[in-house]
Amino acid sequence: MKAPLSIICELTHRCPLRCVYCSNPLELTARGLELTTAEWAATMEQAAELGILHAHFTGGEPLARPDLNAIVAAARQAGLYSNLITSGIGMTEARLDSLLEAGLDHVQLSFQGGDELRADEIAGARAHDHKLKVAEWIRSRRVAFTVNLVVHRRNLDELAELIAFCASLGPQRLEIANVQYYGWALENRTALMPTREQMERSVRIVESAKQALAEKLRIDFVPPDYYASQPKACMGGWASQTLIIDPGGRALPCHAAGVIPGLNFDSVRQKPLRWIWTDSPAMNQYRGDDWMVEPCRSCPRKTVDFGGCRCQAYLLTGNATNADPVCMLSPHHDLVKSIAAAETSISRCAEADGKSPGWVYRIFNLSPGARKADAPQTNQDRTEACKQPATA
Amino acid sequence: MMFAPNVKLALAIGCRLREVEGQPPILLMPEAVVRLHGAGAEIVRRIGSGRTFAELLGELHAAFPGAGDRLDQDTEEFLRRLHEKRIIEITACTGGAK
Repeated sequence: MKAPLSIICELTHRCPLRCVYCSNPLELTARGLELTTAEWAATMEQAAELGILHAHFTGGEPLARPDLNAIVAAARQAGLYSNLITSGIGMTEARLDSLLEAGLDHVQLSFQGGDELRADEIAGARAHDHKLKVAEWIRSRRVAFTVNLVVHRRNLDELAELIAFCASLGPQRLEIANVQYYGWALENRTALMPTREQMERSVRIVESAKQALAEKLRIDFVPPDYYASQPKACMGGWASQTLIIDPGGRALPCHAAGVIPGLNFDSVRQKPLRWIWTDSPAMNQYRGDDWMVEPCRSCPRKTVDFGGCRCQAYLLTGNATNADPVCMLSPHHDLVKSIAAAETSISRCAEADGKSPGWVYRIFNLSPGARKADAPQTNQDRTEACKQPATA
Repeated sequence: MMFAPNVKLALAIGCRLREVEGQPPILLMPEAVVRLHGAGAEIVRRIGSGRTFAELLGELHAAFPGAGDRLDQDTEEFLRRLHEKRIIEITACTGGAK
């Protein structure tokens, strides 16, 4: 079994932001269950031994871990290339320098928009202003710098200006990521789903920006898949290129796989990482093509897109072995088309009536079922909930 | 057109060469991995701590005396490809009287 290229380490699900597009699961891991520093260090060793090359530190907000330096140092010690995926909240200049000293190779900083008002509405917290400072600190140090911009209905109309804004922050790379509908993003799909016109226009804008900025900035664009007719090669295939470790140590092939019923994902607390990757039933569940049903089973593209996304197939069709319904050959393809049409139609009506979106902000649930009971119920509540300043 | 002898070569920000015992070295950078072989590995190893083009050629000729005339051209072509992929920085030397 070929080793994955990267390990994505969700160090914590704690986060000072409440982004409405967050890909974390709805059931967030409690602090008391998080892996310890020593457990993460041991995982870095095992990852390197398995042949992994990149470690991505994310969350939640990885800066919420006071032992982040030690974990980065452990990754460097093990020979891994380390990437910090952060909102910037909790970063200070001194902290950045100490992370670089610990061996951090690359910082990816998220922006939710180009101006405070709109960015902070999406983040559910006052964060934009601080991010600008963090960007300046990163830019002034010799460390690889990527800006990550998540795009959706609410900001795609300003894409050209947003690209210019992101370029002005001085990164080497810009990642423009269309929202994928898992976790909290799925809860907010109605408000986030772009129109087909927005999507098509965005593709043209990105092409144009890539050419205009070719020398200065590398742009990577993740297109939205609800408007596609062929599915994405999700994660490069199930348990193929990447491995995720959640805050409690559970190893997953992707952020969303916990939604698929009947799969038991093993934890690095109980089993060696090598065994989990190579031999565990859950990791092997959708490898190869024996599990496929038609139309994937006899499709010539099965080695190209692997039938698309298992989690999306489960979420939209109720069965994880089905073709991802984004595929035009899927018997459920019309479902995706009608969802896109319905969501954007609802949004259009709400906008015409001057209503603000009823955002479901990412909040910690304390017990199963608590989220639904305690979540703000009205649009007003949801909007008010976002006006809290972010603290790490 | 050939590079000027005194252009400075360096690995780009965030690019790091990882030596793996018994295996070809690997170039690591954000969201990418490049496995290097043979001559490519020898070139990138030497750029790691900064060289001028002339210094690099000098070292390569010393390490591979049988390489002959093609080495300069092939090296330059390889460097241009690395530069296109943003793996190396090439800085013209400014100032200083000859």
